[in-house]
Amino acid sequence: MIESLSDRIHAALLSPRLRQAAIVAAALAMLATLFGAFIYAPADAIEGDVQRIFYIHVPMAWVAYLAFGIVAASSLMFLWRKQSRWDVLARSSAEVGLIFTTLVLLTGAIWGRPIWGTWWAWDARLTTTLILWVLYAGYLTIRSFVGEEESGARFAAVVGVLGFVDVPIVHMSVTWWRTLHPQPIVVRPLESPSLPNEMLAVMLVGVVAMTLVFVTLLALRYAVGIADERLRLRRRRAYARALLATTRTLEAANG
Amino acid sequence: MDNLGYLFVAFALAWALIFGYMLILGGRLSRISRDLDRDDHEDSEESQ
Repeated sequence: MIESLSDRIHAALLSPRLRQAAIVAAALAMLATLFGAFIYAPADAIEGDVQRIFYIHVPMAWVAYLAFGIVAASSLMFLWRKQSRWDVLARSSAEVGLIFTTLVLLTGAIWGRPIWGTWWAWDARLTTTLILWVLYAGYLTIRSFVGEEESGARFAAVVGVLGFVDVPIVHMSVTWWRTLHPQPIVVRPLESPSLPNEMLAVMLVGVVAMTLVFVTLLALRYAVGIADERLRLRRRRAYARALLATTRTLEAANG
Repeated sequence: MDNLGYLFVAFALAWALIFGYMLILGGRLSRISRDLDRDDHEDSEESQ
């Protein structure tokens, strides 16, 4: 059951047709988000037009959580099943998640400058997000140093699982500490969203669009990882064959 | 910079980074696929 589901997930990620469909769907959803963010949604009464950054900033933060959740789940699967494809998926998701976390930090800073009067503040949400960025940048650095050895992949998988602990801390930071960052207005425990309907609709379209962009990038990065692994294995085999042939030739020459 | 300037920079930066990354990945995938095809071709020539 698990094996069959896992085969389906990996096959779907490697399917060129599904990848193309995801690109088209992501492009259409992004056009809808742009229309919603710039034309349909009203300007915020207090912050003005700069508040519209929210329609990409929040969806990108959600996608970063999703990406690091996939890193943790894939790392657990790798530790359990010892299949390298889970390791490739974890690494792919970490890389894409890091891109989105970088964008969350940058778009947040761009919003913060006109609203807070500063690009950066050592606020709980910003600081825990920066820690998240450092954790996964470290994870990818470890990956590049340890190469393809299984012990290195196992170590990286443990880091991938432990790193995810920061995700709920990032999410809850605005509730646990007094912060400059706005309080949650969409996902609130036991409460409904406090946004006007037009803004909420555009935000949800933005979430769908960014999720589709994420799926596209993840599928592409995973395909690169799997192809790279195939090429490396094939070249390793070719090298071993050449070495064996040389040894036999030398043995024959020496009688 | 006024409010619209910040808004424009945020959206442009996000899209530039996402599209740039997508192009890099597309390039890497086609380069590796080409290498795999070349290796396949060389293997079949050797076996003949």
